[in-house]
Amino acid sequence: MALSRPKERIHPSALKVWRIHGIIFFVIELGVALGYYFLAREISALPKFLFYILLALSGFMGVLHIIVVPQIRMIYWGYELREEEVDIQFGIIVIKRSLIPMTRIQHVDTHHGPFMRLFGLATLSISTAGTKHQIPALKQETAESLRRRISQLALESEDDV
Amino acid sequence: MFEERRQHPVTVLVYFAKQIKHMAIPFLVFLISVAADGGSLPPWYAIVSVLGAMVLLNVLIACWRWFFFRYAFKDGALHIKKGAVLRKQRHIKNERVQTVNAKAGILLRLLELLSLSIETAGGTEEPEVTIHALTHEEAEGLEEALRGETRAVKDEEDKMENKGKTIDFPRLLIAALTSGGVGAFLLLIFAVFAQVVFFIPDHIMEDVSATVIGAGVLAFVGLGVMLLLTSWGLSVVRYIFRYAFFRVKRANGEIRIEHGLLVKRRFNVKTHRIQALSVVEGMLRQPFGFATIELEVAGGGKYEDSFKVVLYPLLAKNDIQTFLEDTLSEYAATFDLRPLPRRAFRRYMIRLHLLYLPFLPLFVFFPLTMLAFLLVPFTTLLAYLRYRDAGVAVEGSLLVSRFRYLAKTTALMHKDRVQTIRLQRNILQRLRKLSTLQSTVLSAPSKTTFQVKDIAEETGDSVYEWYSRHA
Repeated sequence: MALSRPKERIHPSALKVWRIHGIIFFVIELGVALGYYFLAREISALPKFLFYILLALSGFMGVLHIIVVPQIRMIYWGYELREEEVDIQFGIIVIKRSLIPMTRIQHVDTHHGPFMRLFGLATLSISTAGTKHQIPALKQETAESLRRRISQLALESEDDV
Repeated sequence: MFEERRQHPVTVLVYFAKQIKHMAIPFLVFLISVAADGGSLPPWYAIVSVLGAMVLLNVLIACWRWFFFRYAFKDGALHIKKGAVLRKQRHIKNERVQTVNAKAGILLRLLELLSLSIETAGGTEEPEVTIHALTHEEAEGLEEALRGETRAVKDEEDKMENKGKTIDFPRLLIAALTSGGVGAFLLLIFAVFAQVVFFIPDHIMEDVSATVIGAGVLAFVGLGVMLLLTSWGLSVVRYIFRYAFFRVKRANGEIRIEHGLLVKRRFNVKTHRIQALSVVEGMLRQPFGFATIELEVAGGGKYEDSFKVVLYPLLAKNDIQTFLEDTLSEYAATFDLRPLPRRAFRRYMIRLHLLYLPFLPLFVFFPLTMLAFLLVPFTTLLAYLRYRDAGVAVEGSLLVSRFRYLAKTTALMHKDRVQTIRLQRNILQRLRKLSTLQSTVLSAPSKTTFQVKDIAEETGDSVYEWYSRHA
């Protein structure tokens, strides 16, 4: 019997944020390719064909980062908050599934980058004594209430170490 | 509880030796490099007066440090004061103290003194406070105060406690011979050589290399064997010096370990700080049926030269169960290890042999490196052993992970000591219904993750469900 996927999904707008990140990445790669093009025009020793390779590469990576990767990420992302533990699943090629008991949680905090803020999203990060886990792209209110609930539950659960 | 006092005056010597150790090497290197450059050395009286000034200054500093270092125990806390210009005060409450370790070198043992280092939570390499020299009586008083224990309790405990387990010489010798410390000494020899080689005049180097090259391959092999034997010998001697008179016993919720031939060490671990126990069967030890027992301990600092605590250096596999029942019954369990499924074998084979891939271009350009393929039987064997030995088991509240890099390691950890469990599956593993299981426990300096690759998916899921407190 296989484990069932954690019930909660992250916010659909996460796709948009990841795509924006992908676009920025693509623009930078494109910039590198163009930079090489102008450089090769000045210095004749540099082969021209490399420009086309770079261009193709950035196009390929662009498609990957803007369309494919965010979609796959979205498919696998899941989390579940229970009385006693947090269950997280994520990944693109390697799917990781982590179980963090409330008793082990040392602190929780929320933070958000500029694009996350644009869509009213936040990342929740959960730290134990040795490990750190993140749930990205939750609605800010959700993240905040999760943060409060986790710290509450973590406080309540009797520590047995 | 006692009033402010200083360390034993011999501490001045200890401080002095430590200070000089840091200065002596740069000074020597300076002299040698001047000489090797062909430059003339400064006149002898200049050297002597610089040396003299250095010694005098260091003696003064050492005296100063000793004089202004005072410690006291009152109101449930250790109070340390040091320095006169830059005054430092530190208070350590006894509930914050994790361990008190004792150590005594030759000098201290002659004077019947010892040094105590006090570790608090938080994994730094250096102990929080070290009191460099004090009498056994003072040490006992301080240890008791820090443990918040009364003498009556201790007396009673002394009456009750067992003698503990010691190690006999033949066993110690076997442990030393198979300790696998050769590598460390080889590196050390190379490191020293790399430092010294700059100072050897060119013409001598040329002579030597001409002789060696002239003598041919045999000389190289001979040199290699000699180096290996020397390193091995050194590692054996070091091991015996370190672990002679080993004794481990459990008393009063603590594991007490002591050992050492010239430098005696004593180390206490509160059992609730133990996070995992591993049975390590090194490649040299496994054929003879021997294993080492190690502990992962939360908090505390570096112990010898690793963060792991050796609970027992060398134990016959059949004796492990009895030993654990006597010493650390929490980890004495019989379990049925679930081995890896057959379909994992191919992944183990391929994973190890992928290491050859980056060298393929080398084979094309330098055909001689093809000799590396002589290693293939060994890597194949290693891959097979890794596959055969790996497995997991769940027995009550214990999780058992067995895996092998070189040494076969069986890690046992209690559910309530595991920080997180993670299952990891890449695309190919998903196709073959395999998972990689990672379990993280606290240890010094921060954490240790035990990993078993390619267990059956349903085994992984069952461990995950076992760990889940969710009904």
